[in-house]
Amino acid sequence: MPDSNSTPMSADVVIIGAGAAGGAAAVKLLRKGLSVLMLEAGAPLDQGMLVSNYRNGAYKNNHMAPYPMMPWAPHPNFVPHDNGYLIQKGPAPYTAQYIRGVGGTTWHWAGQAWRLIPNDFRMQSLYGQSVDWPISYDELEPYYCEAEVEMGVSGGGALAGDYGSPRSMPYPMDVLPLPYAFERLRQRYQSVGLELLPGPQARNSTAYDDRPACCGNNNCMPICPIGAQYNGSMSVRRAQGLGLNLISNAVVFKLETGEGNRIVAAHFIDQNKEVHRVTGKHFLLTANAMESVKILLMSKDERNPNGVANATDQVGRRLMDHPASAVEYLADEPLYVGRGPMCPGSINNTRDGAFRSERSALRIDVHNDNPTRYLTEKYVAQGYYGNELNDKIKRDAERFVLLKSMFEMLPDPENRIVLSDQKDAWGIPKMEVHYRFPEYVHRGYDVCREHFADCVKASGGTEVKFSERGQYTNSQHITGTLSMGSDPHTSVCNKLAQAHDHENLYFGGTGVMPTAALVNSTLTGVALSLLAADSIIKASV
Amino acid sequence: MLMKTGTIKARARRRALAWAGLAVAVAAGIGAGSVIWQQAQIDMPVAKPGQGGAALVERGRAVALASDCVACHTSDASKPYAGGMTFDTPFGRLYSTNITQDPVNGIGTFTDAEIVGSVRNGISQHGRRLYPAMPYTSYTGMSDDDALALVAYLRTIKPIDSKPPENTMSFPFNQRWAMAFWNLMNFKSGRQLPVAGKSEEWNRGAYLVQSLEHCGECHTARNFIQGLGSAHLAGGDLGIWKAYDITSGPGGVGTWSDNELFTYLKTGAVHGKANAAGPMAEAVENSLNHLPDADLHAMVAYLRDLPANGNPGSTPARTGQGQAYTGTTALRASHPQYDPNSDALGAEVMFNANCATCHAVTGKGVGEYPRLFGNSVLGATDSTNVVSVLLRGVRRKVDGQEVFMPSFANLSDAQVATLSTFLFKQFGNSKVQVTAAEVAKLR
Repeated sequence: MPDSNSTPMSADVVIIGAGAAGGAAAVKLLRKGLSVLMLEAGAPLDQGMLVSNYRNGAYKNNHMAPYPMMPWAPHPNFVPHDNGYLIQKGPAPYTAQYIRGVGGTTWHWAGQAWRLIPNDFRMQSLYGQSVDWPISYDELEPYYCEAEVEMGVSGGGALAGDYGSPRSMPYPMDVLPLPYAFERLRQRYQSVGLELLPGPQARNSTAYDDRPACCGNNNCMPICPIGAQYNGSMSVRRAQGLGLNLISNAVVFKLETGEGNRIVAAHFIDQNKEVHRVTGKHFLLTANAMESVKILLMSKDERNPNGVANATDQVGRRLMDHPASAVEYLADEPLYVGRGPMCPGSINNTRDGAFRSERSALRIDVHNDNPTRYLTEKYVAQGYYGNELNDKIKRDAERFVLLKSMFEMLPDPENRIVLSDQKDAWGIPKMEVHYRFPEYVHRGYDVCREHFADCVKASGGTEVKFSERGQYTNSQHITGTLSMGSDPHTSVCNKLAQAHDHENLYFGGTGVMPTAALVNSTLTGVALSLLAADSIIKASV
Repeated sequence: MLMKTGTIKARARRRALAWAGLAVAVAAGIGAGSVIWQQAQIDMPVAKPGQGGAALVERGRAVALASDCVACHTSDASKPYAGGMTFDTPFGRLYSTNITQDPVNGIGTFTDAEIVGSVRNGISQHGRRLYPAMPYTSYTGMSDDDALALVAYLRTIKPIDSKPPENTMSFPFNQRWAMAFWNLMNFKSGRQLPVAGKSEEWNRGAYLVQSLEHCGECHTARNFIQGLGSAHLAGGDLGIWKAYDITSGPGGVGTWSDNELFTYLKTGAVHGKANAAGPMAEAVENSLNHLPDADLHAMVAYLRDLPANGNPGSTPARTGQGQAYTGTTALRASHPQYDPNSDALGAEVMFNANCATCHAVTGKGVGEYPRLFGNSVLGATDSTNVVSVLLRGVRRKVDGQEVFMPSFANLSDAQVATLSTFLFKQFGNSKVQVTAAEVAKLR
């Protein structure tokens, strides 16, 4: 625990949340000569420990299982049963997964590092749906470049080009090659006009950042065992080398305001239930799109009776994710999915078009998780055993294909996070989630199902299983709750990522995104955090 | 700790220890003026008629590659030959010089004789003495034709206006003139001549090994005043790395086939046997990999013929020891806990979490990832290189293919000691024990 004698409890910038967004911002701020104090609710995490936990653990299919949950920093968990931390108020479930610990949720992700496309920033102007961002693609582009360098992104190449997201700099690393299954499916899906491309990934295709190249352990989730895939702890460690003062096991429960409604301090409780107060000139909140909301809503005072940054009751609203539908089938040829990283390629030419005024666009990920465990559990449950089981697993695992599509949610103010009356073990309120899907998404599903059927047909699929209309899984792309916008009545922060209500409070991460668009949100969340860091740097001179 | 950026050139660090003999040399040097005079004679070769032009430059390029000049004279890969590489010595810090043609910071104003003097005599412009971090003690054997060619090549290197930092040597080691006395004891000036009765290939190999590639600067142990000793190529100590015995004894390369030796020199790797790391990886990457195959075969022919010079009988063969690990299933069944902060963390738990992903749970290696059991580095009697690889990783790029092992410096000294002791016990020389204090010294 911090010893107030040795640890300065004040800094130019206090960052709350030690994930990818906070880590990247810390690196940038420290390089500009600002002092940074970082508070992280969870514990430090160690790659060796996580690999060990995974290898020796029983719940191989639960990506959260290797991650120790500290009683003072609980996170949602739904396997083997709902741990009750995130209270579902419906009507649709919002089964968020995130990790509280140094490095954050990027410890397990598929590493997909997509940029939005320019039209994603102008949904209202172009399609009369959703909202426009207060910034253009071009304004975010330099921060995308910085984020890609910090995280180590490989991508592009002859097949993929820029994916429709114009670039001012080449990718830091060459694109990773498509595994055999993907190359075959790419060829076969061409007949139905769907383009399967090798995606941009925060995963090394060559040694980079003193980390090795991906060698295809196919274990990106729950833990890349060799550090070829970026996670936030790498940026935090880089920041520590630059002088970052990191305090882990520090659960922030209050932002204190002062004169001019500036934030003057953050209060946290530690693992011994002792309370501390840290001060700073600027505060950057990068504590996950849900946990950040909780901190703001808890920070009620006379000036801010609804909580900090919440004068217009916008904090925690417009909760989004990418609802996902899926199809699985057996192709008519052996494909051997499961070699290479878990999400090395996607169908990307379904992301934009005039149809976005009527229904959600979509992007289809071809999943590369090794299917052996899944099929084994399924066939054992069906009663197969002995040689017949072995033969069936072998034959079907070679041919198994899983496609998942993500849809674009609309920013609905009624989809929101509120504080619950229930408390966690450290006396901090839990969260309730209200969530519903718009017709816009369901209409996207209808078109997606046609695409899925085309894919199945193009590759001679049998034993086809579609997920149902209206039954969508979470993609863990938590967005919208700290929306950036120009109108304080529909957003939480301005185009500088600065709170409308507080001149020295900034936000980073995926919560700042006012629309979820159609791609994995981490890269955009980190880019926004770097934009916020830039705003802080400009405000500091 | 993981952000360590300083580069330590181990080879030169070791050579730098040589100056410990300075005081002794001073005492012994009285009346040795004639030898000093002889050693300072720069025998500037004269170009033969027709010698010159592009062919000479091309030959010089090959000499520079074989002499691996670039490795030490480059700190920023975008500025080759511009110097600035750090050499940490017990007496202060040295920086390699800029040897581009820059007239101010490089050697643009050197005469041809001053360049040759630097390379073969350790005497630079205006008689300034070089520290033996520059291996003139080996380069002195360089032939006249090669020396002329090297000068011609160095003249073609475009100037880079980059000034290496000033050395920070303490007194008396900052007195460059005193190197003359060290040379008295440790330097034999003169060209390497062919040995009669040996084949042309053998002689070519001997010339490459002894003079240009300066193998002995690392692989030959130093005497008590840090000059090169008499146990030629029988192994040397570079501080954070160990240069192994490469004579034909059992502890050397006696169990290697010619082809394995050739492959190792060419690529830095022989599967299941050896994988170059540290300074050897640099030597392969920058120099050996670029030699014509005939030169590598010549080196093999010469090395093959070296008498066993280690301690025959007392050293087991470094290759072929140890066996595959079979404990994974039992380990998993025991539900081990991995506490990264515990110095008592178990070796097998660490092995499974940190090593087995690439080297396989058995240690048999996969593809480019080395096999551990039977590997010569784990069959050694000295643990230095295993510990250094754990702390520093491996980075070697040959023919466009990069071999990379990350550093595991995040493990504590005690953890590295536990893990490396296990690695030796399971996969190599089971007598080797590594202590945390030894790890701390190498960190």
